[in-house]
Amino acid sequence: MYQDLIEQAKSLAELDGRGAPRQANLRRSVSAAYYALFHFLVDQACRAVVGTQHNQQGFRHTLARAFVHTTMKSACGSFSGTQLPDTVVKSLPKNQDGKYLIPEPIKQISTLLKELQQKRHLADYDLSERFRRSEVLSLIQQVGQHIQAFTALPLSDDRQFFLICLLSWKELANR
Amino acid sequence: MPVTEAIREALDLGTLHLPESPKVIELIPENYTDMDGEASLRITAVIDEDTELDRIDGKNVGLLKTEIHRSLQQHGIELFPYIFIAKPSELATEEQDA
Repeated sequence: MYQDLIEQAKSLAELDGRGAPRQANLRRSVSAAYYALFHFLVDQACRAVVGTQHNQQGFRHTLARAFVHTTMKSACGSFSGTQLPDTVVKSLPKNQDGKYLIPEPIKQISTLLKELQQKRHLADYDLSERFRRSEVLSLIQQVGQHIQAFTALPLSDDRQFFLICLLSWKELANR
Repeated sequence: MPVTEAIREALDLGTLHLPESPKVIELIPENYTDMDGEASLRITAVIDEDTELDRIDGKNVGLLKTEIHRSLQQHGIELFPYIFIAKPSELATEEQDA
């Protein structure tokens, strides 16, 4: 699904050739790029919880409906920073400085989701915002690259923990 | 609220380690409030006019944004930076249309 959405985003951004791009095409492109990243992360999280087998697909698709955009943005806002809240991090493994280190690909994909959700909101609802082709094409390239980097991450506890947090952050961060 | 001196220092092109491509020629910071009402920054990264858009590397765009985040945090600025990329000609077109 997410690969098709990236292709769709690219097609829309380039639809008007070298002439002045229509805002409607750029706006839909930003939205498609956001949903590419959203569905990628939701799929990864569901695979972490349910499993990756073909016969488990129905369970994954059902669980995928439980993810909430604002919860994911809030989780990603924390994972994009230098440190998670004390209440979350207290039992996690720490380095010599007493800090839980967030792996860089997780930090980067978190930053991108938070940024893209804001831009998707502008693209869909704020007509005073003007989108530029260079911005939109850069975003699409960034989505593709960050998905690639995240996919290359080993199946570590850090990775699995981050993915589960996308679903459970609201409850976890407020304990 | 005006953009602080610390923000301007954090965004000094002379000290940032930005990728060579896309070449950033100016960073324009503005105070910003995001969709959740969170105080943030909106930064326009103006790139060289000759940048070929179909050859922009997503990895370099990520490095560019990561470096801006890093520098802001190093200067004690915790505001999330929403970074928008633009060419000078795109900004000029908007000024004409306004």
